[in-house]
Amino acid sequence: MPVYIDISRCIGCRSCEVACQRVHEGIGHINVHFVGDQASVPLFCHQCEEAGCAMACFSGALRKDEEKRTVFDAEKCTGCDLCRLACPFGVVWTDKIAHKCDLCQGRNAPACVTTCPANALSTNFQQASRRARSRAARIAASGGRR
Amino acid sequence: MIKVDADLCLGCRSCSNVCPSQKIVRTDTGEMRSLHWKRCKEECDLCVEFCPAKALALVPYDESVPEPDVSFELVACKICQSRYATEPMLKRIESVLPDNMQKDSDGLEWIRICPLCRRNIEAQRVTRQMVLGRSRKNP
Repeated sequence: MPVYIDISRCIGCRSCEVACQRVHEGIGHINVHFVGDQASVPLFCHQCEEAGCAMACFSGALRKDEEKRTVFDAEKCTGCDLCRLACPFGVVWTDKIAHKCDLCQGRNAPACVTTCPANALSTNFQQASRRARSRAARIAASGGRR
Repeated sequence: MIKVDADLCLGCRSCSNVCPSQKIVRTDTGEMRSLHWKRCKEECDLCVEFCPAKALALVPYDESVPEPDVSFELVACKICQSRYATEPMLKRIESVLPDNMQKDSDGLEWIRICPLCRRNIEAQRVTRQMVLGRSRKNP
């Protein structure tokens, strides 16, 4: 289950960044970007179905698992840096070795989701798709895209 | 000791990271990355095993052979000009990713853009989408 964003709810408080760092020994995998005064956008791994990072990884440290998550095995990583260059969204990092969102495996829910005070992040596909559909319907009802 | 095929070497960070005795020195200075393999007597071949390009080979110790050196100019991001990768690494990405993934609806060659600028572009894209929805809600 990936994490879905509703950026119209994001208040730019960066609590998600702090939460992510708190549960990952100080190394966070989520970055809030500010687009002028218009919006703040938390950016993190999309769990791409066609995952460039996993295609570029030669050691088998990054791979797609049965549940379509892009999982990372730190034991196998050599820190070569190819995955960081193969991610179209810039959300794989390399320090000594690579790191990216692991969906907080082993926890009940990702820390960013439980922490977000604005309910901008969720793991609930139904809710995310309901919100997206109603947004699309509003656009259509007011004459569609120009 | 290690023999390097400079034509195959990507200039990545793998061998210098895995060498247990830190005999492989990677130096990034502004526009260049250089790699230097010090002479080693060990029979360890971790760097050979973990080279993504198969550019390294373990050869018998020989005092007369000079220590290998390879250097690369770091490629500048198309947008912000920061140096973020070596050319062979980017070529490698271009060869492993399918063509449809390298295309971008805006016609950007995203592989030639640094990861920070990639995030900025993504943030701007989703913001445009949201603003459009908002202006439709409150015309």
